[in-house]
Amino acid sequence: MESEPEKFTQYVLERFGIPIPDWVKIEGKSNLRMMSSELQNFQTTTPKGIPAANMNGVFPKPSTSFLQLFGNLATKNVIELEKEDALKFATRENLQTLQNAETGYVILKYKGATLGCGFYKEGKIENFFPKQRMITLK
Amino acid sequence: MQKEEYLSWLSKYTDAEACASAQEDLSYFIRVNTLKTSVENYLDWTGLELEPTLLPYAFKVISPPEGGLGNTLDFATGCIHTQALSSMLPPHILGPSREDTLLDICAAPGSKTTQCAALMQNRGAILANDSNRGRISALSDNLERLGAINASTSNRNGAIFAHPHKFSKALADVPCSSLGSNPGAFEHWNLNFSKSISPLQFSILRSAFDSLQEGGTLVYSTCTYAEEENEKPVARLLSENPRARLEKIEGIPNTHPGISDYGSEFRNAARVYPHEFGSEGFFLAKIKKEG
Repeated sequence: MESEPEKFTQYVLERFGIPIPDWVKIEGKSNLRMMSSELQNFQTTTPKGIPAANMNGVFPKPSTSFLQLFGNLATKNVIELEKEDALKFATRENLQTLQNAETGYVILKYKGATLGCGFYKEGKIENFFPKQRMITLK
Repeated sequence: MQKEEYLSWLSKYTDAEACASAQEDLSYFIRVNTLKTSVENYLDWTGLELEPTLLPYAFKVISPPEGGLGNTLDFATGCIHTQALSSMLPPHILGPSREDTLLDICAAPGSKTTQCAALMQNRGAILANDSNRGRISALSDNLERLGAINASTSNRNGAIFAHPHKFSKALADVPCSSLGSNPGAFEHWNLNFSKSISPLQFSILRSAFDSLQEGGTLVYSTCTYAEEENEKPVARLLSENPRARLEKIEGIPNTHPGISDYGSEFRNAARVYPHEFGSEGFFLAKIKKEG
């Protein structure tokens, strides 16, 4: 039976076309963490690396940190935003788009840089940008 | 301490008036986070007006945006971190690589830890320790925002820190009186404070040194001017450990050697003053553990 890290690795490959590099190790059950292979082998009692995904939902939910690190490898289900929408996204507003994607999680980018994760359905994008990183517009 | 008295004390190290005046008007700097973008791509991408520095990934911000640098897409995407140029010197001097295991013994809030992660290209392993439990969340937030996946945090007392692993590199950026980074710090400071915190700084330095493997290197740093917090703890480590050797800090312009009263080897250490370097005041010592 596939482990949760294996399911997530397969999911991001199928959904986004992201091949997770060999040296990046994914560990955990429902809340997955990612780490360097050297850190995985390092002796410590504290959590290693940073969050990679939440596996509790219908679809695995990749973390913003995961997408900001590996979003440049994505080949599909990527939505490129104009500046105005990019700023709105960073304020955690939901968005509308004319661009096409498959229903499910999408990667949102601005001028090639990954902003984070949204959930696309019928032209609407639900915002999953982390509250602690949001910006405020004057 | 009154400003006049402070300036009189500071004048034994440098041009006190120029130093204090420069410190009140320090520039903002950013570090491009090369874990998420390349410097070249970032410069094409950003709307910020930037000026190069001696570090290829560090830039002076010519006119910070009205809402602050923390309120930009640059920051929200983790493409940059705001960090004083002087504060980037300890990791730069230490120069960790992807083959290293690194101990950052006073890591929070993680500016230097994440800079080390970038220099290590997210490979190797970093143990990011801080004794202050309340600051661990800020450290974890920065590791996440900047995408450092080669670090694990720990919350132990740095003064009595021990770990079964022996590290190839260590950073000991110890708690200090902050006279070099906080322009108002002198108002709540007197020399007795520096004398009283010196034994703690030494204990943290000793723990970091004891955690090194043979041939390993550490950088000791503070953002203050008092020799009691700078040369004194380092001199004590050198006198108690025949295997500890001060290595020369090279390639950083507009800095001064350490105070030679503590030994001629302190020509290898570096003192950084704001009016000459253009960023916060710092002290840096690079120490090798010989085999």
